[in-house]
Amino acid sequence: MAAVRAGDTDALDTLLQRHYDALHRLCRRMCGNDADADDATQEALLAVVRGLTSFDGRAAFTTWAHRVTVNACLDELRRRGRRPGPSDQTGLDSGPGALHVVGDPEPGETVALRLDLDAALARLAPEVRAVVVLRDVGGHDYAAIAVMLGIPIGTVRSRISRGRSRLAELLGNLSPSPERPTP
Amino acid sequence: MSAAHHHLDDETLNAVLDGEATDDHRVDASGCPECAARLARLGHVATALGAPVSPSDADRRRAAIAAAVAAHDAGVTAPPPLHLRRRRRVSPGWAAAAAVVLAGALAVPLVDGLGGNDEGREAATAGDRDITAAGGSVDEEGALADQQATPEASGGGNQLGEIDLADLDELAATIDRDRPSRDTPAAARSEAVRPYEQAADPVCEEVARQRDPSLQALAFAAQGSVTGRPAVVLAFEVTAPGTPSTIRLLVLAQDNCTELGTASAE
Repeated sequence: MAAVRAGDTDALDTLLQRHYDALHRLCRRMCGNDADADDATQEALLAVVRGLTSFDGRAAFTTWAHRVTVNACLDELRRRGRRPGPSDQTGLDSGPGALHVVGDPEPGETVALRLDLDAALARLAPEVRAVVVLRDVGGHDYAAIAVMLGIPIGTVRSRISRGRSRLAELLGNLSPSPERPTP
Repeated sequence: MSAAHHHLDDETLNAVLDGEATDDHRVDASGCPECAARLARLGHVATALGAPVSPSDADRRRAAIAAAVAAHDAGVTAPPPLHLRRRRRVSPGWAAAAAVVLAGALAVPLVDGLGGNDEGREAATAGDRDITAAGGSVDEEGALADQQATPEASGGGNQLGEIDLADLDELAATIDRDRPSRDTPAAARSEAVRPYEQAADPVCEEVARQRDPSLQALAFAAQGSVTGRPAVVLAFEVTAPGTPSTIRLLVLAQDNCTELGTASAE
């Protein structure tokens, strides 16, 4: 980082190469399709570069870059005034006609699951999606997410719960028992 | 009758899942089959979200990083221009064939015009050799005589050989003079410039555009070398308010798009 901040172009290139895939993964989940994710990642890289002078090194670069990236995605989504594009047309519904994947879901198991995930994520409010993505894609703990987004830790907790529960509801195959026993 | 068992709510279960719950809640969750089942379902969601995604397009990845590095070098603080967004891709094969045709149309008269001094003449000689390899020949007015040049005959396409940076102004003026914007019907001009909608080296083209948002249509693109270093030559149309468009020529190092030279047609 010292070399990057000193203006070493090669060091910056190496740094961006190292983090690109992780940032793209965040953008992919935030944006819901490959094309928007590529655009958002581009925006995020430029935001990272522009923000390097303000990066004080108190947080890990990864944490800081993830924050910048998710904010870039939120900006992108706001600019476009809509939620993720292509997945909006998948017709995902939590009703009887919902798209479901048969069998036990495994990470990256089927295209159908991925499509369901994109469509389901699109149903979440961007601020809820951001928290869930930072947790499940970025791997950050609640306290870090709270700092990254400037929200109370209780809000992080409730948004993660709201987001995951909604996703479980939308991805019906992941929650085959819709009713929980009443105490 | 025993007291009703109170299941943990989703917020607590998610906290358990994320290692953010108290020990008591963890014990409660593991001791309650219903809670454990719900926890497993939420865990499936979290696992699915964390699954790998399809990798980014390699060209797009490279272009994004190069543009960010260039922005850093240039101290650019403005938002990225729209042309960094999805650009129509030109079929490499078709673009190469088209580039060969326009190489004859533009580069040969360009080389002819590089006779101002000995250094320029050396550059012209090198360029002439490569253009000859491209298979085009030019009449006295610089018109393309053989428009049937093929990629196979090009020896690699639109090559200028060694480029003399001292002659860039003349190079820019020549491209400006010979580009099809002058006295060319709109339809024919559109056909002529199409090969350069994206340069043979789109990364350097995008980096150049990132550095200078005033760059417009790409009027000419070629490869060559500067003192042996592989380079890309890009000529863009630029338009100032109230004036006709002109040409800005850039010579960029092919490996990292560093600017080696620049010139503008006056």
